[in-house]
Amino acid sequence: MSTLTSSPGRLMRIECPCDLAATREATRSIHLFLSQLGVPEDELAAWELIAAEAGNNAVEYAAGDALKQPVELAIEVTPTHIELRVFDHSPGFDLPEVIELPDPMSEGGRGLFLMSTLSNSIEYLRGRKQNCLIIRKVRAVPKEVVETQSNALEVATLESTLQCMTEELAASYESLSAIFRFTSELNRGGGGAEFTERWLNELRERGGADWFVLRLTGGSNSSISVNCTSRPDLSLPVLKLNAPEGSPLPAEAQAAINRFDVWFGLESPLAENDPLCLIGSPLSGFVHPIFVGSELEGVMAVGRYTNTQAFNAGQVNIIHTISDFLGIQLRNARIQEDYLRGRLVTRELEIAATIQRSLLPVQLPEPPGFCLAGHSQSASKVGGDFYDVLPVGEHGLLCIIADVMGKGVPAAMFAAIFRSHVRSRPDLAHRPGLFLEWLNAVLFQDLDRVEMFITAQLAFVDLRTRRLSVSSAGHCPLIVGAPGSDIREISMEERCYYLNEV
Amino acid sequence: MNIHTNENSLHVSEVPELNATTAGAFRDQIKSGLQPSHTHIDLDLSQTKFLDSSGLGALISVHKIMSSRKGVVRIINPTTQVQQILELTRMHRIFEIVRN
Repeated sequence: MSTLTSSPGRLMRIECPCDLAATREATRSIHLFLSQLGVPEDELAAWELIAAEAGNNAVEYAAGDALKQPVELAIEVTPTHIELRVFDHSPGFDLPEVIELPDPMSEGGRGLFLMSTLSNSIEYLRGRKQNCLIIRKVRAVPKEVVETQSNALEVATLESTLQCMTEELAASYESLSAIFRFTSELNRGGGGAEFTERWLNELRERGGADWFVLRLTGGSNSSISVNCTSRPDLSLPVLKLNAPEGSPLPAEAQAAINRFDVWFGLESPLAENDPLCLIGSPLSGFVHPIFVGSELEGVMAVGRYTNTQAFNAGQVNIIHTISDFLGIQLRNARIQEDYLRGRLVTRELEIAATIQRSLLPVQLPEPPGFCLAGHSQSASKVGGDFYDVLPVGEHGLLCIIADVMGKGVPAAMFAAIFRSHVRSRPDLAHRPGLFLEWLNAVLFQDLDRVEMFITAQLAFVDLRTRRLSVSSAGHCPLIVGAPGSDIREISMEERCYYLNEV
Repeated sequence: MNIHTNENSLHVSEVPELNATTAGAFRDQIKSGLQPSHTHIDLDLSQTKFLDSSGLGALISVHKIMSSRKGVVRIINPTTQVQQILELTRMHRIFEIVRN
């Protein structure tokens, strides 16, 4: 009885695939969770049935894409009531104002009736993408309280209950005031590792704990690693969340996978291989999974260097609240960091795009008897490719096309360097092969250092003879065409080609 | 689940759960085990730990099959949980519940 009245609020969330077998399995977990919290047998049976009916409903109304989306069940146990929320992505249904039994010979339609009869209130919130069925039931007053009200022992029990309630109220006040301070600190530009550590030390002090270990997923689904601990002297390993079957799961992994608090101490000692054993012995405490929405953010393990003294309801309440709130802040910080990183990449690409645009000729030469045109279209936002046409003396024209391997600022910069080198040696323009050899010699070392390369093609046109001399360094072949003949590639064996009159 | 013939009745036992995932198979197995000589179906629900609305639907379905041939469905020794749900949904008025 005392366990029931003084139990702190406990919450379990289960996310499962949208099928009947999976939701049935989830309801079994709910049964187990409630029984571990000391919920009496008759209430257990009722909640297992309520959860099963709610889960079946979520699956049966789902169709199309909704079948690929998970069903989430969240059950909260407080000393006064139990509440189940079932989230689904189905088109939903209309909850009748009065839920009645169907025709006795009907083979369906009793699910809602069972849920409403076994609970005190039932609500169905319909959203555009998600619906939520909320079922709430006030917990029965333990029989002993009713039967022995005049009994002195009972008075003591009631007093103890009252004390627990007062304690919870005080804890709620403390949690709330902690959150206010948290928020104001964040507004002043707090955050980061120092912020987390300071707040976890506060949590340790207010929650009456001797030690703590905060592990975060860091966005990974398969492992949790230590983010902050009061025992930095220990090297606590990264915990995998998909440990091989058979070996006992460490308490922190259990809490992360099963989504409910895992307690340890004299009655339920830690497994021998549990990393928390490194902290010391004897040891007691619990691991609280931290969720933001339905996603796991991390786990908070707190405890004492004794195996007998459990935390009281108020302390558990404070630890839960501060951990959950910190989880939200850490998630926000991670999102902000990703956003800033994204902004930096975008900025870098903008710079590279500007460089690339500046490399392209604004106006092409217009030698008499010739018509020149150029166009550049990059595959992605920024590439390392460019083209150029340079007049050489009075009767020559050097056409350049090149592509630097890679994208972004480095590629654009090498393209700029390549262009400067080409422009610096007009004397080599009429011998493209020699020119490419020289370019290779001057650029090779720099390119090699960053493991990049450039493909290029130079074509020199003698405007008087219309003779075209071409040389290629791994670039696509040059294509030529003339009125009355086929379009074809120029092979490197040809050495030179004569352009027809336009 | 165990199904066998006992004179003119079809005896069904060892049903651990009657829920949304098992109700279909429960109904189909009884349907295929039913012979013209059967005037009764005895559903021994003494081991049934869990019954939900889909399970109730399956019971109604079996009841309809037997009604159409003027037969009777009896529920034998239901567990407390099953009994409570039958009473809650007033299905104890439809089925003959036998305790022995």
